[in-house]
Amino acid sequence: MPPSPRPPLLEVDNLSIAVTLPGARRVTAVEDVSFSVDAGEAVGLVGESGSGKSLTLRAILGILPPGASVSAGRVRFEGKDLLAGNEAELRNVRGRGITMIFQEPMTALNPVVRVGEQIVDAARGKRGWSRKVARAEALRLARHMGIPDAEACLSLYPHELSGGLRQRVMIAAALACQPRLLLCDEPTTALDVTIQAEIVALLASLRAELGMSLLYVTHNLALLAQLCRRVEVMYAGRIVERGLIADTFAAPSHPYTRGLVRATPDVDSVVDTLVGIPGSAPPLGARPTGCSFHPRCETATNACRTGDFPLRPLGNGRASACLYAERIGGLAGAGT
Amino acid sequence: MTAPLLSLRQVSVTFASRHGGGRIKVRAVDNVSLEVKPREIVGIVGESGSGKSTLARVIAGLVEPAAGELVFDSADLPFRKRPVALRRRIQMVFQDPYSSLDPRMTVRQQLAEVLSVHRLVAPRAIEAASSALLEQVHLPASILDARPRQMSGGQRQRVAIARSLAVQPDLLVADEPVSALDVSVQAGIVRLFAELRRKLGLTLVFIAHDLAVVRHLCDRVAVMYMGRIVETGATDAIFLAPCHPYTRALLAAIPRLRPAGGAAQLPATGEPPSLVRLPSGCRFRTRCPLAFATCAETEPGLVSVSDQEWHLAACHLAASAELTN
Amino acid sequence: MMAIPFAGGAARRLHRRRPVPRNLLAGGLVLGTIVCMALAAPLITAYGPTTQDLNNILAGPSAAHWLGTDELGRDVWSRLVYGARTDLSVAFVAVLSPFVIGTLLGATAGYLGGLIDALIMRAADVVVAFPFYVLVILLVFLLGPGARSIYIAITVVSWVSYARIVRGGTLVARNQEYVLAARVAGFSGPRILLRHIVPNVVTQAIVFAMSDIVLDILAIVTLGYLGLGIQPPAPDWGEMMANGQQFLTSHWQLSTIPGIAVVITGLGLSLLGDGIAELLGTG
Repeated sequence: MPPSPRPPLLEVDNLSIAVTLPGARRVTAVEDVSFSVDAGEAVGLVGESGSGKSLTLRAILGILPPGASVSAGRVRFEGKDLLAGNEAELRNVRGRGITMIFQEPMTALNPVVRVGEQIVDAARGKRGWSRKVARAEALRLARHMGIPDAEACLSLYPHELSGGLRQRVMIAAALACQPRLLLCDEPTTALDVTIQAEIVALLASLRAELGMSLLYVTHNLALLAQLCRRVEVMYAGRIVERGLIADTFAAPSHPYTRGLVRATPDVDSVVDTLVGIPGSAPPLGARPTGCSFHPRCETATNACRTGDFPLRPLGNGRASACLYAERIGGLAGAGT
Repeated sequence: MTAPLLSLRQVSVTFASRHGGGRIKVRAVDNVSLEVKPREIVGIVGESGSGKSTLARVIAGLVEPAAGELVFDSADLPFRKRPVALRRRIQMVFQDPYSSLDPRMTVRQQLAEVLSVHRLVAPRAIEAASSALLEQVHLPASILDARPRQMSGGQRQRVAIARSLAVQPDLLVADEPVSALDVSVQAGIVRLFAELRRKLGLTLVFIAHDLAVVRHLCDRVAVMYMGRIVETGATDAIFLAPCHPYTRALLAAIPRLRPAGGAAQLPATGEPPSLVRLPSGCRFRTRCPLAFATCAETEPGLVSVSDQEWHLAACHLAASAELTN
Repeated sequence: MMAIPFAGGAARRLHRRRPVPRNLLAGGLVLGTIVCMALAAPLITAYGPTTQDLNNILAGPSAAHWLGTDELGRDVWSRLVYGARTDLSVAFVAVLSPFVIGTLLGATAGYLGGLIDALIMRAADVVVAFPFYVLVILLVFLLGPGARSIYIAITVVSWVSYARIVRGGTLVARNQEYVLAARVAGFSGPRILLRHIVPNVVTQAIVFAMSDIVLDILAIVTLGYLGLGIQPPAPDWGEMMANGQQFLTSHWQLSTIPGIAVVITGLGLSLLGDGIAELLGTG
């Protein structure tokens, strides 16, 4: 893969996030996470509960929940360090450069404001337009999002809309300022699968049309395969594998990714193989020593119990934190 | 031909819904008939508003139907005042492992309570019986002292299953038991259900919105939309040769890890209608790319649509195609 | 099939190590001190609370009488400490009865719904229509002053808050899946209510009880001040304040000191209540 000529749009370098648990204990929820997103690229961040993927996303925009804070690392957007800047600078980037859509549109939208107004507010706040211009833009966006009967819909309140429509409204509001990067925090998890398919198709077409970058967080591997080109797999607060989606899912080079792929039920398969990963993800602050996945790993050896396992590049843009990555992924270099 | 263990005949459930000033009756389940044979695993799939959860609760005796009847083991199954002996034979496992266990009680207490209330074992044998139950769901006996908040989602769900097995039911109704779990944990629970059917001869009604999981577990599938069953048949038949446009839309909408040449990709369009104001005729027609005139006039009934045994679909198009074959 | 490793060890350690909230410690300390003093009353006082010494009335603080004497020569310190006994014990019992009755009524109303719910809630509405003190004073007045009347009056008026709190919690709890699971398992209604719903809902009522005790102490003291409370010769802070009124300009300590005692006790109970709320709330 030839290196991209432009610098990446978003660069996360060695990000660590600490969380204060009840009882005043401070534990590391995200550790030493680094990745980048190029302009116009769609990257998926996949992990299960406790992987830290949502926290990572929120750290980029500085909207971590109370009790969580960045303990190390940098987040650079278009070269500028977001974490080092002050609140005013951060606010400048929010909405114009980077916006975010959330999982539960019911709580992300203001329940007492008509949805049309919310889109207008988003547009005006960032672009300084007059009310009239913003209204027209809101209507255009609503139609573009496939909201049926857009004019009427915009005058409704969030609770009067279905989940799918609310999500489209949220996306419209997010796009009102034409961000260069859209962060998505499991936006379709709460939606029916038929609606999910439409929203995903919408996001894909928007990305192609606007050249917008996408950082999509989810636990659904198959969903990422529809939308993204690259994937970062997180486990227990760390990135354990990265690469192009096609390569990574076809031949994972980390046992956790392999476990996830095997556990994802295939609706087209006739063969009865549904294999899970035994055990469960370690709770916050109780990460095992050595490789954090080794207690659940079927190929773990004594060597996996101690030491550090950073991401190792495997060529072709792939990297894995597993000692036996080459062997597991069936890649060149295994056993030679 | 074995007699079915459970029969639902034209069951309907209505809820009063406050809508625009007045109270409207909403049919959450509309005229549903279903049969479950002993030792069978039947999957009921649908999206929100399909009525599948309500149907599950009707079977478990938590919701009273407005019409229709239930027959269990060749005897009438009353809705209210279900005798305890009958209640024991149908148990339920719920979706949210975080709220399906009493947060204040330890596993030991919860299992012991079920065992002692039903006087299933002598008091001094309760501990052994509890451990045996946990073994059936592959949990270590050490979990007996744990409280729900100390366990993972998968472990809680296994405890919930163990608790429902304590009364030795004939039929287990599982309402989206894996939807709230991480995918790596789902597989274990699904395999557990298959194993319980093998080892205990359990009959299972498995409610899900995830067709992929259903494919790996169920013998037969019923697809529900807006309160009605729109297609039902053997799992292979449904997945390989779906007849109803909604089933095809569901299959098309599922994201795949490896892009396949999905059989008959036929996405549905638009938003589902509200249960309060259903479209005339076929309730799927507003989203169906194949709808034609008859669809707006009459509601299609469930008819046989292939020479596969018991493959039924409620679609005018599918029915007419079958007729011409 | 591989046995699933039970992460209970780590998880359990994580949860047990929750430290005691500071409010709880502070409130416990204050209240504990007062309770100990009340319990040890005979040991820390030189005179009985009703022993009169008419040769030594209205004396100021001295070595013999730490806080002086009142208009009948009774030792103020003794009366304060014995007064704590009286007021605290009456308040404790007075909060228990509405707590139990209110919880049971609220849980029943919430679980059964329908007519019973309507009846109980309308009864509650009637009670609440009257201001707290008006009703309490009226009842005590009708029943005759004394501890027994206080219990009855406070119970009749206070059960409503508990009932409403518990009813609200029950309405939520009864749709929780573990309650549905209990119904499916064939447990009887009373069993589900008492063993599953109430234990999960009662924590809110307990937290409320802590602030209710403070109100009750104030009510008892007020009644005492009005002469309707605990009757003499049993010492009572309210009565002390009432008697000391006439000497406010010359011997202000007679009214002020019991007042301060009420404030400190109230503070201790509030802190304790907050602490318990924190402790139970995160559970």
